[in-house]
Amino acid sequence: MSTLNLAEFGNDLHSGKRSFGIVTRRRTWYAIAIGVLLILGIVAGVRGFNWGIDFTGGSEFQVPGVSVSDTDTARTVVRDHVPDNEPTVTALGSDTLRIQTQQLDSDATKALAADLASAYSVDPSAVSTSFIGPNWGQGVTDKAIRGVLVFLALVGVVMALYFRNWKASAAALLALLSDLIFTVVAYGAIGFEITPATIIGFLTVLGYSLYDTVVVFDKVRENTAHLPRENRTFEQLVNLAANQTLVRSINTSVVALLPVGAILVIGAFLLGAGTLKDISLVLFIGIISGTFSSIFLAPGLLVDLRSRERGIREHSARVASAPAQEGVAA
Amino acid sequence: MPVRRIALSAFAVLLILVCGGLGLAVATQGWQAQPKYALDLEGGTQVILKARSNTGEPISSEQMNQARNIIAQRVNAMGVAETEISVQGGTNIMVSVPGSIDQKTSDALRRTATLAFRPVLIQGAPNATASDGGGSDGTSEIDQAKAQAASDGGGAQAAPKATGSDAGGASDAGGGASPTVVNGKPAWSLEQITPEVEKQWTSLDCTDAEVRRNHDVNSAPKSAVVACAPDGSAKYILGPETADGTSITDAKAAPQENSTYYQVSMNFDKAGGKAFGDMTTALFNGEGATGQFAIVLDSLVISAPQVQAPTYGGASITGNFSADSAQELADQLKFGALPLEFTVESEQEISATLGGDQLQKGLIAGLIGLVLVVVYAFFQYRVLAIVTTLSLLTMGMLAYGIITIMSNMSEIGFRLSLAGVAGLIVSIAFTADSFIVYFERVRDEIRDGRGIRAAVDHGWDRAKRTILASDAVNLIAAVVLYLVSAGSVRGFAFTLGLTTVLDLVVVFLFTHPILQTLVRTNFFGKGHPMSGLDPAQLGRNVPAYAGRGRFRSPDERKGRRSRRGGDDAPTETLAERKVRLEREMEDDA
Repeated sequence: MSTLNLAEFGNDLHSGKRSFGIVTRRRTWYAIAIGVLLILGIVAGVRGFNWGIDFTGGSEFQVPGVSVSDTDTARTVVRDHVPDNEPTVTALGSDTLRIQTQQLDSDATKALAADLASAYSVDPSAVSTSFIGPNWGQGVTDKAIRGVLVFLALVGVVMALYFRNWKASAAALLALLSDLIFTVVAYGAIGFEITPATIIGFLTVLGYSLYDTVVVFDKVRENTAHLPRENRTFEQLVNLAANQTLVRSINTSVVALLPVGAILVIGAFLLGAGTLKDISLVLFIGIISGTFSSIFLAPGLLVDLRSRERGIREHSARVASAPAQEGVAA
Repeated sequence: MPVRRIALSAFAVLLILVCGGLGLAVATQGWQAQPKYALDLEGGTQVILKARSNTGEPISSEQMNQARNIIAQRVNAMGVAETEISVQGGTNIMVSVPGSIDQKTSDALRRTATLAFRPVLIQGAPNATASDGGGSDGTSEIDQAKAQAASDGGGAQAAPKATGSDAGGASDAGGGASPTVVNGKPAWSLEQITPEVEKQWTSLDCTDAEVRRNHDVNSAPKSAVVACAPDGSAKYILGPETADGTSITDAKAAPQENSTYYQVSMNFDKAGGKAFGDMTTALFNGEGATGQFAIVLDSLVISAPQVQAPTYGGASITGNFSADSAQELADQLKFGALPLEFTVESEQEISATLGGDQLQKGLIAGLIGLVLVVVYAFFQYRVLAIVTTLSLLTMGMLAYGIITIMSNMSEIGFRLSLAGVAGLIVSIAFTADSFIVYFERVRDEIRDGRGIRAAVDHGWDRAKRTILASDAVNLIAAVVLYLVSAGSVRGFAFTLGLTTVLDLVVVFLFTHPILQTLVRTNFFGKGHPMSGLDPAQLGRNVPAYAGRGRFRSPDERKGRRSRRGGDDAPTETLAERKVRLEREMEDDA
């Protein structure tokens, strides 16, 4: 049990007896983050994003005169033709199956219609086909993007006011940006279909990432509230804050990852496809990225942004020239 | 009564109100005891609307998309249920509504967007006035208007203003059967008011949303009608239609010169422009009962501008429009201008797209996850994890109760999709973070040498700020996305906002007061090794002040604890703490 208990670890981090070079080695973390983003970005770029029919529109088939309880046959047939996208299979009324899949050219449409007809043993001419437009229209996307931009502007101002420093706000938003890019490219690299559930998960990550950073920065604010009187540099104090909130950050991410992980495992391995897999994957990626950025990127960025401020520069110089005294254990 | 008891009582009342209220509504109002599900889990009704061009020209995909957006706006305006709307096969619009389609939605779909221009005869208070028996109160407004009309143009003040634009076309105002003359009288004459209209004027209650929705004026283009403002803030008597929406060729919103406001400009075709021009000329010259005309969309007066200048061919409407409200009006004008007519081609039941096992397995997965959270919390916080568990449990109950209530209320009609269920489980886990922030703060305070009770109070003061600040981020996200977005993003914002508010409620009214109460017990207050608050485990290796001048060493605390009474809880005064901290500093140096 004691191996699982982080309390002692937390004790040492709190007192500064044990300290990780979270801020002092920030260039390493930046390099790791950029490297990972580049690799995943290239993989995602090569693979291309797999947009679901909710966004692209697609082809629709209606098979009349069948037992509507059997949707698996249709799924199997469609997967033979379109392996990357999960078809939407719906019963229309009491005896018609509606199958929607990504947009197919007319030959592929004919072939799939014929296969569906034979799988359900109905006359091929009875299977009707048509094109459908996206039901996640451009309007929804535009509005969502506008919403996110308004949110970022507003939250940027609120954070700047709360921390009484616009650079803290900027550092948090930069860390968020890295989370968003990471989530997008990692999801793209894994190659799951992008569905409305993915977008919902993505928006959840947006809030989570900032939330996580605010908790760390709140500790920074507290540690540096009386900076002129401190005998440690701003950088050391931010490093201490990041270390002191480390146990919290680990606990938080574990607590958030447990249900997400459970849903991901069941969604991906037991159910195979669909909503649960998409939303839990994007959340899983986003939470890991959000935790990483709030610990390893945001405090470092804050130090980089603020270290040139006159008060902090002078204070650091004073601390450096002062006679040796107990500071943080490096 | 201490604050913690008040908070706990308030929380108990809230829990009872939510659960009891729901139970009562289930028993007496026929509500469902569980939330309603969205299309993917429950299935619903699919309506296919077939577009027909009333000009005979082929329908462009641009027009279809425009029509699709406007129908989406109309259907989604009615709550947060997720409706799917797409263009199918070029000329059909497919609308899928979860559950059975209600009358309101069905009407909204069937209603063609009819836009018309009518002169305003009388504008008045929105409520019904007939209830006091006399009826003379209401009609007196009409009499008054008639009397006033004799002397001047009259009219309301704070109305938007319409001015002519230079895009004028048909200014030849002569000849032909004008649509502006109805029953031998001009459309803007008070003489258009019939006794039936007078009766309706006194009885129609525009403040009632139901009344506004069902009130129809489109069926009577050739006579005066009573109509409401969309928000129920005003009631109008309008003259017969002088022009309809199909005569609009274009409408757009643009910033107004020398002003922070926006304006909407529109252009008419030749016939419409002439009728519109005749009406505005007459209104401008004070020939009308008022100087205003009304833009009527779907039987509601969406704008009633005052005529600033007679205008043929084109007009611009100014007023206190924001960029959004101007764009909205322009869109409404344009939709009225769409030469499309929709008929319901089919209405069919559709099944859920996801099998029932998806929801079931998702719920099981979520439950496993939450149980793991509790187990993990136990390893981290020992018996203190009970507080986490209880908080999560009450949080879950409140969330379930409120979502069920929201989905039963027809005005809101919230529905849970599978993504929503997953999101809800995850956000409940996220809220566990507030407890983590709080507990870690309390532990920090103990590490700094505070007594456990004082540590809880001080830790709370600091954790409170952090929790408020970080929840504010989520709350801003929820509110902004709810206001700005549409469709399933809106549903998401709703859930996010709800869980964030509940997180605050639970932390403030339950978790903190419960912890305050618990630290008054020996088990927590003295930091039993299993309590999660044991100072010895938190690295406080200095003897703790144990009251009555005694200090307890960590070993002593580990070994014997149950013998002491509750009166010597390990608290210390500030002065004592200062002395001790100084001693620690010396030790360290």
